[in-house]
Amino acid sequence: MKAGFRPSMAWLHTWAGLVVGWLLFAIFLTGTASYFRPEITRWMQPELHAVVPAPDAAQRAVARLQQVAPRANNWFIELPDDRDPSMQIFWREEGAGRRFQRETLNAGTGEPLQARATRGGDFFYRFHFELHMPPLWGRWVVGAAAMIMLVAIVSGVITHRRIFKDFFTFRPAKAGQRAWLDAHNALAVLALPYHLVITYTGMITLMTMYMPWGVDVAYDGNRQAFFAEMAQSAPPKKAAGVAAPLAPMGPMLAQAEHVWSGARVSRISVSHPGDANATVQVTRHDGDEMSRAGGRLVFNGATGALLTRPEATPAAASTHDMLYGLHLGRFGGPLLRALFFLSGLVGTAMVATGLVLWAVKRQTRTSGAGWSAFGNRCVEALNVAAVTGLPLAMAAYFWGNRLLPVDVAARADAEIRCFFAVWIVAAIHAALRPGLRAWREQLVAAALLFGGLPMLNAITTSSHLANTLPRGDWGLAGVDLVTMAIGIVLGLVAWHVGWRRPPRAEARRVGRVPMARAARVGAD
Amino acid sequence: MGSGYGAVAHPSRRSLRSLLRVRSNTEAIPAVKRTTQRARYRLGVASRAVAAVAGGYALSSIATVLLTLALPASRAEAVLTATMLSFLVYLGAVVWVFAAATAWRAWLGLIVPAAVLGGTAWILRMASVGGAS
Repeated sequence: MKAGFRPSMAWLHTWAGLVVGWLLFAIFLTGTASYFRPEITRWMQPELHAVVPAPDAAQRAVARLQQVAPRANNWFIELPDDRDPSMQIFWREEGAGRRFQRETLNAGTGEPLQARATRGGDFFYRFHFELHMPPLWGRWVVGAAAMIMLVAIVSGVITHRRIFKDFFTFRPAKAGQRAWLDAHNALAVLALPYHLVITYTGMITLMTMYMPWGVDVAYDGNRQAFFAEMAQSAPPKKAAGVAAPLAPMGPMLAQAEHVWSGARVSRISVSHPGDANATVQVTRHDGDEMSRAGGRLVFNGATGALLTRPEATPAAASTHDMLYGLHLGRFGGPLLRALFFLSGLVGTAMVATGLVLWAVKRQTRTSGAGWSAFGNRCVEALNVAAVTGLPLAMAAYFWGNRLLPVDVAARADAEIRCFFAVWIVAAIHAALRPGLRAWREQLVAAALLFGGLPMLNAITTSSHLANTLPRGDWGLAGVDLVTMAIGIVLGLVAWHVGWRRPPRAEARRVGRVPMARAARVGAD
Repeated sequence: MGSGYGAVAHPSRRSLRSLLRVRSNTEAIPAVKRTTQRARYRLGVASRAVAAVAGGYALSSIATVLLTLALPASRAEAVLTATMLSFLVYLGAVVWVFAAATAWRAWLGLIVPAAVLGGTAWILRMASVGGAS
């Protein structure tokens, strides 16, 4: 390596980290929460907690669709599974444009079910890659952040000279930046393969949006042709105009499961139901196979015959599907999911410690006057707004779900407004309160909101720990237990932040203006 | 980055400042020259940032196009392989831009490969279009 390579990579790592650090924290935290998207969605709809899916749930859904949308061109059914027993149906009327209508069904009876309107875990999932912005904008911002994250990881590894030896170094007693640096390094190296893979595969999931030029040059700009070829789907057939009843779902689903060696069906899509040219496309449950390849089968809707020839997926497509599935991380059982979740938290903490380290290091190096102090204050406030503000907002989202009246208008949006309202308040609080105080107050607030959630759950619903634990409903109990654990951890951190202030810093704080007081954070 | 006048410059900054041949003891340098050096430094950083973000994207796009045309596989396979690799090209370009000794070299290190790869891609494209017609 040339002289200056490591220092230049250290510079790159520091600045790349700062530019997107707050954004990456949000992406990481909401992405980590998304590992439990079905559980969160289910927890947020207590009305569904007693539902037990029937074995012929799909047929019941078809019956309901025939009631509500007999002349629709497309039907979609999302089948229940062990993590989310709700069943959704969607349909699109002719001439209604691209909007879908939807209904939630009781998977046991097929009747429509009135559960409280909520986006559930989908809100965090979508926020993770769209940031609640118009989809194209949000995805571009997240993609840019992901690319910078990749640069930050690689430059961080290059910078880290004693990467193996340092893994066993943590000196919390050392003041200021040394402890934060050790923590940042340890968290980064602990799950380094995970961080690399999740960042790279994250970009892979939207790669044809970020880098469409290969598609354009190979398909002469006809991107639809590329996607059709990727999906290995036959071109959609036009309606024949001849009425023919839809074949029963049961045998089709059984045949699909047989072709897939036991993997379940998760989604059914019917084109031109009731027509002789109807097709039924079934999609494999992505918890049963890491790769998406071969996960779609098409049946003749009138006869029930399988149309798709099973083909070996070629190498690059297979690799792409594998990488895609790796990022989604929906495969594997509860233990693997827990490990993914923990790795995600480690990554989130890595970003957070990096941000704090930046602020701490900056304050020990600058004179503390004029623009430098303003910049430091900005970074400190943004750190608090992101690292404690976002968890506060997520807790508020759950509290809103339990406290908002069930029949309020636009309820799902109201819950999301709770999320953003609390985040904005936290950001303002972070801007107004001096450094350590802001951290401590927000940590305490977050600890109370998270730790108090199981209790709120017990007061407002019957799906609380005293009921869910005895009957072994780990999906529901898990949400309560994890939020309680988060509350305890945040409480411990708040106590640590509040207690570990050395007496000399206290004495120095007396009589100082707030700007300089903020700079004292580095002394801790 | 912090002003640090009168203090020792941060190690990660030294590599770039050394290009401007600045003595580490900044107190002996007149104020006008310090301002000029600071402006030149910032210009260098801005230049590299543009090179990394825009130039890196351009280079990885060109590499994607070339790989798509050059790989001996079916259309979809070539596209997928090229697109999946493009992010690694982008990564390499960004690392190069900030590791290069000067901002000029950073740009050169992007422009020359872009020209070579782009030219090759153009030739391949003409050949395939000509062969097809």
